[in-house]
Amino acid sequence: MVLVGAMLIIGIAFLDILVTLGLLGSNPLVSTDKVLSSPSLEHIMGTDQLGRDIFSRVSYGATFSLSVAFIAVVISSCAGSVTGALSGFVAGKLDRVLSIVFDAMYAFPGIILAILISAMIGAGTINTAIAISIGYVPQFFRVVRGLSLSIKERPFIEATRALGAKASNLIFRHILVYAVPSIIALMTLSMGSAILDVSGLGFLGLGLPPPIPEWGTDLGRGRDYITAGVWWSSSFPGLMIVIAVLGFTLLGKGLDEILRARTSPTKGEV
Amino acid sequence: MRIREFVLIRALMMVPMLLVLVTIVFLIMRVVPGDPVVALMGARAGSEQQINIIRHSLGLDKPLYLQYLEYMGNLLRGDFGYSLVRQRPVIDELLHYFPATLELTIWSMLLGIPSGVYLGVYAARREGSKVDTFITTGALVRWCIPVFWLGTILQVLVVQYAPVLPLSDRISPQITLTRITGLYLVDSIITGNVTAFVDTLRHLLLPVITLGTTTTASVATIARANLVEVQGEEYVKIARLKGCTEDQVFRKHVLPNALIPILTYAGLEVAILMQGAVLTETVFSWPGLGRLLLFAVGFRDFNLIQGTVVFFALIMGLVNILVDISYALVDPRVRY
Repeated sequence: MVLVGAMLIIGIAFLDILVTLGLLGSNPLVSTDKVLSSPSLEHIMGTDQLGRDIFSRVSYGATFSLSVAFIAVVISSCAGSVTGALSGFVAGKLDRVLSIVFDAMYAFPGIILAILISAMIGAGTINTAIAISIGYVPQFFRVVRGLSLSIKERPFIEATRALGAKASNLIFRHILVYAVPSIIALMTLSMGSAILDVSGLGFLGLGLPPPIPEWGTDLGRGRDYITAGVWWSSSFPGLMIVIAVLGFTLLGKGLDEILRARTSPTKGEV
Repeated sequence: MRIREFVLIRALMMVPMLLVLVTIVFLIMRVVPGDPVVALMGARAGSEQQINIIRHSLGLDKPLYLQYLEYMGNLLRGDFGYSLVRQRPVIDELLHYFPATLELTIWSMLLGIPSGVYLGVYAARREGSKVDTFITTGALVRWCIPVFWLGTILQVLVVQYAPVLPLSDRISPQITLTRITGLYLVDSIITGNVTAFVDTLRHLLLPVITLGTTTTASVATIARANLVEVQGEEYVKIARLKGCTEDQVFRKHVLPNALIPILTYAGLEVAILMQGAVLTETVFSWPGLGRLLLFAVGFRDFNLIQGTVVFFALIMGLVNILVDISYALVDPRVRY
């Protein structure tokens, strides 16, 4: 599973690099006269409403969808993990309050939150990443808090504390380090959701501004011509989304299985 | 502990959760870098004077804690504010567009949960077989498909191969239907309007398939995983050792224990469906809450945006209570 997922991602990255370097396809940002032409030998995915080669746009666009998703996941994992480790370690009132807050956020539909934040802080790469990241913080909080609670009673933590370690040292160098494999697995899985969220915002016209060739935005704009029989302008960007999300999800689930096999020797067959 | 007490306790526990959600929305809309009105209006902000007028009418020039108290007080009275763009109370807009989203969500669940359970059970009974792998992989792939792409593809296919099926909206413009509940299928049954009923069904088809299959995929995955896990439990082995037929074991021990968690999942699924509804409503021009939110965002209607998001949060809270209650009704061990 890990292999298939990794191959899909590498495949997309490969196409992206080739097109960005100009070794494959045409320039994704330059308009031509061949407006809305169907897939052909010259343009294997056809052209969009401004005559741009869709294959090139879709390959080059990977950079944007993936980087925004990545930034969002990094932000949420850092925020959620540190808060979770702290909350689990300190426990008491802080933990109770934070748990209620994050439990509430956990059930809230991510896209609606992202739309709200996006509307208030505006478009742009970082802003979109921030808007999306808020929805994932509760998951990281929950996972790392759980791990923190379970290992803070262990002998090695007690021993380190006896040696005079400060709380910050314990949290960062011991608890968080222990949580790293789980965090990475969750990050990979979250990449899948994040890509769906980025393209969702783009589809709604709220994500990255044009002319950035983001998959969701292209899909949304390409829909205007469906009734005229133009299917390629919306189908191919969407296909790329599916492949990318599938890649990260498979990778993430594979990592998850390996993790479970490592931590409980009796369960888990990889 | 009796059901009544459980319901009361659960309802009380919901209060902090709703409080948090409502407060988060409040904060997001006001604690932004810069001024909320300017941030929202962006390039459309007018002169200094116009901004001040808007800010005053929205109450944003008052100190934050005062705004919060007013906000909470109003919400408790059911006052969601006034929509500057639509020129009527926000609650009116919400109640007008809510039934459309409700109808879509309900039918998606009615499609998704039974089909998901069926597929999950089917796969689990044939654990390890090719069919099992096929269903599991299919569910995984379906999860990775964006709802707005699936809807679009369905529209593309309809245009190519079945041009008679409607692509958007809830009902054809020439059909008249008296609006009673706002749920068109229900209304057409109540008024005995057969043409409207059929027409509504035709319009519901594509959106419900698009949204419902999301649920099918998740429920199938969970059902299958639960069933496989329960099959390995001690009490199942003992039931078999006792001499129960496989069918008895399955129906009386495996199924109930595996499927009850799906009930809790159903609550979470409503949130996921609401999320999907925003996108699906855009694809199919469905006049529901999702589109209302986008409309509000597009027109920078502060109170309408705030009201719609709060409304979503409140629905979530309510659904969660209902799910918890039904869980307690079904599983006698859960009673505190």
